[in-house]
Amino acid sequence: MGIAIVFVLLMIAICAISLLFIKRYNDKVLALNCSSKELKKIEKKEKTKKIIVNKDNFKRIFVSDGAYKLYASLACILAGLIIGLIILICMSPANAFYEFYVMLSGNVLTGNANALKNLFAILAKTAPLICVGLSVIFSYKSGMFNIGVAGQYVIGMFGALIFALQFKCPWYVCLLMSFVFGAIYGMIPGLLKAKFNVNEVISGIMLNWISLFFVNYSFQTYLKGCVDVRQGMKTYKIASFNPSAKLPDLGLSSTFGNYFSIAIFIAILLAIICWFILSKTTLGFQLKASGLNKDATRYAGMKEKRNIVISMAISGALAAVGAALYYLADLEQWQAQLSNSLPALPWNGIVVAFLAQINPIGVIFASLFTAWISHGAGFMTQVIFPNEISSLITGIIVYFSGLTIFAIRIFKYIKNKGIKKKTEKKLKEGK
Amino acid sequence: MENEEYVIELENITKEFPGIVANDNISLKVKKGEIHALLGENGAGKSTLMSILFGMYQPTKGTIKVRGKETIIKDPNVANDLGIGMVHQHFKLVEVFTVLENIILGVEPTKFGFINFKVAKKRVSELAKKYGLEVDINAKIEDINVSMQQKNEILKMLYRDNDILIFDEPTAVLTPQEILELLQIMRNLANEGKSILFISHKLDEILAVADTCSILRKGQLIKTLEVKNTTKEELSRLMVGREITFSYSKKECELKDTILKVRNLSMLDKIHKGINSVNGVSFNVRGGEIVTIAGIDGNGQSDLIFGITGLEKILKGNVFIKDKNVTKLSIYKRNNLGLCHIPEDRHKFGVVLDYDLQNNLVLENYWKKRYTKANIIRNKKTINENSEELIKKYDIRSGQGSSTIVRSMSGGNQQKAIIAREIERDPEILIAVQPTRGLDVGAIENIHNQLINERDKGKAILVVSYELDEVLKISDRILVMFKGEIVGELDPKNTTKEEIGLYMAGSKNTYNFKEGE
Repeated sequence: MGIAIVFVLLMIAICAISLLFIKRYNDKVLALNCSSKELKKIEKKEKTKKIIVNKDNFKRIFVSDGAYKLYASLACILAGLIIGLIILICMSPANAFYEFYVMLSGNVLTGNANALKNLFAILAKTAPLICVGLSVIFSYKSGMFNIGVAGQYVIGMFGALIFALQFKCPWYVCLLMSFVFGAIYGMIPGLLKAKFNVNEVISGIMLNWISLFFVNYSFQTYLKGCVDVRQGMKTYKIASFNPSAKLPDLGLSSTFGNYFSIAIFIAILLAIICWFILSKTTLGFQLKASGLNKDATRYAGMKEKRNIVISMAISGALAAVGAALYYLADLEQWQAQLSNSLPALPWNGIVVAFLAQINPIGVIFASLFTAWISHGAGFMTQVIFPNEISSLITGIIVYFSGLTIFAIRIFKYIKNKGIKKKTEKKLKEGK
Repeated sequence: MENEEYVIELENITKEFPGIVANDNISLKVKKGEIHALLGENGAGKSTLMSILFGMYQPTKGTIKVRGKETIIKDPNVANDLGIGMVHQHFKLVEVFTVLENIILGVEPTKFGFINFKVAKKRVSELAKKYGLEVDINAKIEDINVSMQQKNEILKMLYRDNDILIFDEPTAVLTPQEILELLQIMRNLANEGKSILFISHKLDEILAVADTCSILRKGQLIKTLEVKNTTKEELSRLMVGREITFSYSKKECELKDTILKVRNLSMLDKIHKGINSVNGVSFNVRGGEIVTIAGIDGNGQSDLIFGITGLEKILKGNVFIKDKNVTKLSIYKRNNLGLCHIPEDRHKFGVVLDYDLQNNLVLENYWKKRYTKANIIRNKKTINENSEELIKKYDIRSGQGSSTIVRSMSGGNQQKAIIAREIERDPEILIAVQPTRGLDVGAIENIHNQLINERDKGKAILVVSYELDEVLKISDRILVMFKGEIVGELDPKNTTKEEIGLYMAGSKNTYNFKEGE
């Protein structure tokens, strides 16, 4: 009981400290802001001479809107890490710091002989995470919350595995088919929303369960050829059953001596494509507009209902490709009999999307961080910290990372307060 | 001792909102047991004044005395404790609750912590009997009609022992018979010693029911008079004012072909179910003329425009643009036929507030060849050029030029941006709803001149305005709307504000649309 109270108090203290940290950081930013204002005049003069003041531009990067988002993300990650550390200290003070270090290093930076293997394992998990993160971002930007991402992920896995194991197709066909499966499945909540104004969150949750049990049923009945009955209806390893469906490695495996698929490159490419669609094309213009002001898009004659369906279809397809990148890399096999809960990975897509501040490029780094932490947590000594604790720690960190939007609000509040104080001071001095 | 006979005394009430004085030094006294009417055009400050009395706003200056005692009404709860109740224009009822539950909501009689419905039922039915308010107290709000809902609101006030009752335009949503019934109820209430403040712009009702009438215009109290010593004409003259209006030097209009035809258009009311907000409206707009739809706010003008522009589904009737039936066409197709629309609610429809100015200036045209590469990729350069051009041409002022986020711009400049965008789209028919609302004098003149310029170029222009000054200034033809119907067609040169006022209040109806005029 006593420990619990101390624990709660410590949590509060840490929150306060992290907030102070934000504030101090913010003051620094403000100071930079002021100096840059003074420098603006000089800069204008220099611009006419066509000389770019590198220093000033450099400083300006730190006070831009994007920079604020980055600070917020970093502050949240930090707060999560600190609280995670405190829990470890509460449980076993002697080992806490070392184990925490092991987790953070992800067993890559510890000078371990398996460093490269671990790095590849992290990257392999990052790829699907990027895709599901993109899926959430794409729908969110057009004003919808795709909570059906888990269902689309499962359907994507289904699409990829059918064509890999049942029809023995090469990997690109599997990838394409999972894309198609996911797009169709994502369209369902989109159509329901556009036609009947059904909330996409509700229909999404329902479709998640439908997909899970449909897939399990399918593998246990008419797709029995894909599963190994002796191993609890587990799907066969692609490498042994149909090697052509396994994601290629471009010879990287033999170079490094570890399996390394092109999944991460596909995911990064998808992130860049998403960024391009959202910020450069007319489709992105429409989708973002309907996310910001639905009535105005209707007024402007954009087909808002069609846009809902398109955006949900793309979102579903992205989630499905994420699943394909995971299962076609042979990282895991689907347990058709034992899986009666939805996989955890697509849910993390929501967290990753918010940690990345709904930015398609940011999602690459957010996914890397999340995959890294959860991989690293697996290396903590099981005797001291049981498996559940490592999951708990990653959960807390990821949870805090998701609070970035809240953190931005705090940032802006403090910033405005600082400006107010400064103007008040100036007014007083003026008087 | 004289003060004691007044239940409410408002003294020198002034209420300022940023940039506007809604109430300017208004003093008002209400006697016990009297029906005191507040008459005025839209935006005259009636509702603001009543909101102050009900505690929703705090006056900038002035004092409020209730029953001779000076009080500060912090919030509606304080008003309630003082016995002040209000029936709002849009009812505040829980749709899925029954009438009884709505009446006792917040002041439920309890027994051992449970609601004692028996006691409540008894009291409510007693009150209903006493004042002739027949309602089915077990019916759900969503199942009963507007008139019943209003009676529910009145019972709500009576249940709380309120004896100063504010009615905010109570007859706006009622049928003629229901209005008669309501007026009778109001008389009953006054006879029982309740004091009533009755906000209205309908002269007949005021003459029928009120004892005294205070007339507000542009935030100022014009006059308080005894109703029995006045006439309809006098009231209407006082309401709309008599100042000589400054008119623009316009050329004679050169009428061209009919561009917009509206035939028998009916629209469904979104708020009050079962009523048509627009009822069988027909009219033409020809090229080279400005047609203005005058009328008091809430008589169906907004829904009429929603129907023409396609923002809402049409219940019945047809709309033609240049002889093409557009009734079932999408907004996109209507836009391409040359329909341009300056919306009433500029934040809701007119702009995407979080987009920057240059993107808002191509909100409808973003797909055009000029602004894209290969029809898919947006051409930032031309979008920027377009916006720089419009900023210069229409004098749109903003902090960071083309890349200003529209949310940070002033209302006037947001409106200028919308008008620039719509006029640059080269309209066949330009629809402007309240184009000058909330703008300063300079901006208003600018916008009027833009509209007249477009007219001189031979475009058809349809304006909806609630301000008679504006209507008389810019229009070539005036249509007056009342209760979802057009009741009069007037020539601004041969009419007066008083005459329009009579049409607006529904006391005249001479409109008779004939095909082929």
